[in-house]
Amino acid sequence: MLKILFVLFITISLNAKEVGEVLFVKGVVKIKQNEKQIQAAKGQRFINRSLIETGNNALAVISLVDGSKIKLNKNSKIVISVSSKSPTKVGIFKGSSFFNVLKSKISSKDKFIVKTKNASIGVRGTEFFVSYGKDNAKDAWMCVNEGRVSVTPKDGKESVSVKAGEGVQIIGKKRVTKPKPLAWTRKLNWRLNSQDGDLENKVNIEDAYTDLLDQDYD
Amino acid sequence: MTRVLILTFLISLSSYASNTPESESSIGAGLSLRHFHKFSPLIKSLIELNIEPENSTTTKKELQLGARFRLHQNIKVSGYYRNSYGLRHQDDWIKENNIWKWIDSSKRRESILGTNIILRAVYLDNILELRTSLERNFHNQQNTMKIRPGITHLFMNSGSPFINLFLQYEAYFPLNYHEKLIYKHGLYTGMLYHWKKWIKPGLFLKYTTTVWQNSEDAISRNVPSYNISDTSTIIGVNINFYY
Repeated sequence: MLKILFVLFITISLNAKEVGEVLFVKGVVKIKQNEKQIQAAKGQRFINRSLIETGNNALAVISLVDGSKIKLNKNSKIVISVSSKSPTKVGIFKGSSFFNVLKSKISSKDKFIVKTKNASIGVRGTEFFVSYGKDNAKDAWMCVNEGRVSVTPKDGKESVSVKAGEGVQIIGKKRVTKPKPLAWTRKLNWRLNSQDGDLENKVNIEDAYTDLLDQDYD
Repeated sequence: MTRVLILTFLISLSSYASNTPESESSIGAGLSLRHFHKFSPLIKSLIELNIEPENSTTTKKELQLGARFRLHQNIKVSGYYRNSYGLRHQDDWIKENNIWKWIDSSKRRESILGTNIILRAVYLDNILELRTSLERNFHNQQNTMKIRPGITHLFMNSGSPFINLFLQYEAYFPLNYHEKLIYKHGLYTGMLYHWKKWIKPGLFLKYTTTVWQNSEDAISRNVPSYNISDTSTIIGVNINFYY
């Protein structure tokens, strides 16, 4: 009985532990923690398993205890799960986010995992972007600005390694396209610090579907 | 007697000079209108109207109807039928009423059936293309192969092109009617502004060189061999419609 209570106490403690802080807020940004939902403000801390959601025309930048930063674009929703024994997990429910993960000097294993409805993205210290496609749950896009990322479709067996300057489309739960430079990602706004300039990302995910080979040029 | 000899010599000189065409160099304006309709992700139709100078005296007018099929992400094949007026051919150099001249083809209708295969690849913000066409002209039974490599550079705005510049080189290989391997070739360059989804205007410049050798009439009348080059520069406007 004591053991059960002890484990419960640790679990609750871990969940109640602050795992991050809000660095920048624009528009309606909500944090749901302990069944309560509040409007986020700059400097506000949040606990493990918090749900963070941005509204229309909103933007939020958060930092995690490990030094990693996440920028949520408008209409996005993520949940953060931090554990001392396993990699940090971020689940993306909708929208798109930029990630800047600090390289781990201790372990070569994936330090950070991002999950979408159709894939798992293993990260070892990098800067990358993840977005649901125009059909939301049916496909997603991922591109890497720095470092290397491993993408595993949810029902797939093989992982695809994506290096800096490349991107992939995750189609359904089984298929990941071959990594290659994607023209539409060149205008992504990778800034995470408001002091460096405007943080808003103006690239529309619909541009990812522009088929350059099908257009007429004369 | 001397005068007669001189006069005869001068007349024979002028006859000799007039039985070969003169090199022409022309500059003119052109217009190209294209309509594209997408029936499905794989099939697109194209209706094209072209009006431009064919040479210093004739204007070429063409109406082409065709369809393109996307065989593969990087490969398209197409078939087309074209009606042309004002084309000049090597055998249009004739002697009529004792005068050598080019036939006025401005009212002569020619039917051309063609097919082509278009290979494309993307490299960063550039499209590399190789277009190979086969055409049959039913007016004179001439078969021509055209090869056109080209490169297009895209200026992108949020992942979509908003202006592109293109540069192409086209070579005409006569398969059954000319001694030259390539009898016509030229550069085609310009830009297209992706203004709206349904309309894209552009400008183009064409510089073409055509080689004329002895026409059938010239051969039958024992005209000495000639090898004449015409050049044509066309500056034009093109508008693409999509609906």
